[in-house]
Amino acid sequence: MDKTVVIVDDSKFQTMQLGRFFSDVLGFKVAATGENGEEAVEMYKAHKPDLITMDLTMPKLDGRGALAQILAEFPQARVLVISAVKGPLLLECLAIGAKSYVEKPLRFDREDFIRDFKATVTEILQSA
Amino acid sequence: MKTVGKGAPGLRLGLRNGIRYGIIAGSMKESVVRDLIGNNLVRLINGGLQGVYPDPFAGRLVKSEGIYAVQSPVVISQLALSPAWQVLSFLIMETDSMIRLGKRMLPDRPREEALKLVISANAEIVNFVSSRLAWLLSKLENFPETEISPPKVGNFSGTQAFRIRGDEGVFYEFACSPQHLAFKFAACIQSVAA
Repeated sequence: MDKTVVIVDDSKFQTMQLGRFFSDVLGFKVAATGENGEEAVEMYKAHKPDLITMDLTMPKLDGRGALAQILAEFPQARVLVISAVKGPLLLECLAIGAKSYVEKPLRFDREDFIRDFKATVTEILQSA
Repeated sequence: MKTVGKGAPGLRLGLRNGIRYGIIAGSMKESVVRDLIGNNLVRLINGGLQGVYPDPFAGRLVKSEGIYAVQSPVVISQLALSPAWQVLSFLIMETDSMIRLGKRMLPDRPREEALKLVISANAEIVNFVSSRLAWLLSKLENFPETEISPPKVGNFSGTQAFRIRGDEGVFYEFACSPQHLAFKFAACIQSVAA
C-alpha cells in the first residue's frame, strides 16, 4: 500500500510542487493538503498519514503551534518541517519532536537537492 | 525566531519589545542597517527566485530621492520584525508578466488558476526574503527573538498605495528580457525606536 502524506503550506504553489514530488518521485499518496496550522491539526487527526510536512510561517496557527498540538496527541507522528525560517525556532521544532527539516527554497531543479530530500524522507519513515 | 500567526503586529510590538529588552538606545545606526540590507537584498531575492522560476532574472538597484509609491492591484507584502527594526517587503508584478509566467510554467492549467499559482509563487519569494531578513536582523543585534508575519496579497491601487520615503527604502527592478517578464521589489527599513 502507498505511503500517505499530508502537505501543509500557505503557498498553493509550494503545495503543488511538493504534491508532485511526493506522488511522482516518491510514490506517496497525497491524502490532503492544508494552508494553515489549524488545518494541519485537523488533517492529521482525519488521515493519520505516514508523514506530514509542515511550513512554519502560516496564518491562524503557525507551524510550531500545529507541531506541538499534533505531537501532544500523537507522539509517534512523523513531522517534516519545510520552511525558509532559520535560527532558534528550527531547533525548538526539532526539540519538540519534528523528525527533520528541509530548508527552502526547494530546488527541485537540482539532483543533489532531490537526493537529499529523498534520503531525509527515507530516514524519517524508518524512524520509530 | 517566531512567526506571527494572526497578521503583522507592526510598530507597536516592536517598540514594546525594544523598550522591554532595553536594546533600542544601543541599536545600530539606521544607515548602516539599510546599507547592510540593501547590499544583501539582491542575493536574497535571487535565492527566492531560484526555488520558484526557471528563468534567470537580472536585478537593478533603483535610486529614489523622494517618495517611492508601491502601487498595483496585486501586491505581496510581508513584515520582518526585531525589537529594534522592522522591514516591510513588497513584491509588485504587473498582470501581463503574471499571465505570461502562468502560461509558460503551467500551460495545462486554466488561466485563472495559473494566475493564482503565480501569485502564490511570488509570495513564496517574499517569504524567503523576509525569513532571511529576520535572521539577519537577529544576527545584527545578537537578539534571537525576531518575528515574521505570513505574506499577504493586497490591493495597493489608487489611494491605497503605500508610500516609502526614499531614504527609508531599498528598491530593485528585476527583469527577464527574453521572456518579457519583470517585477519590482521594495523594502522599507525602519528603526522602531523612531
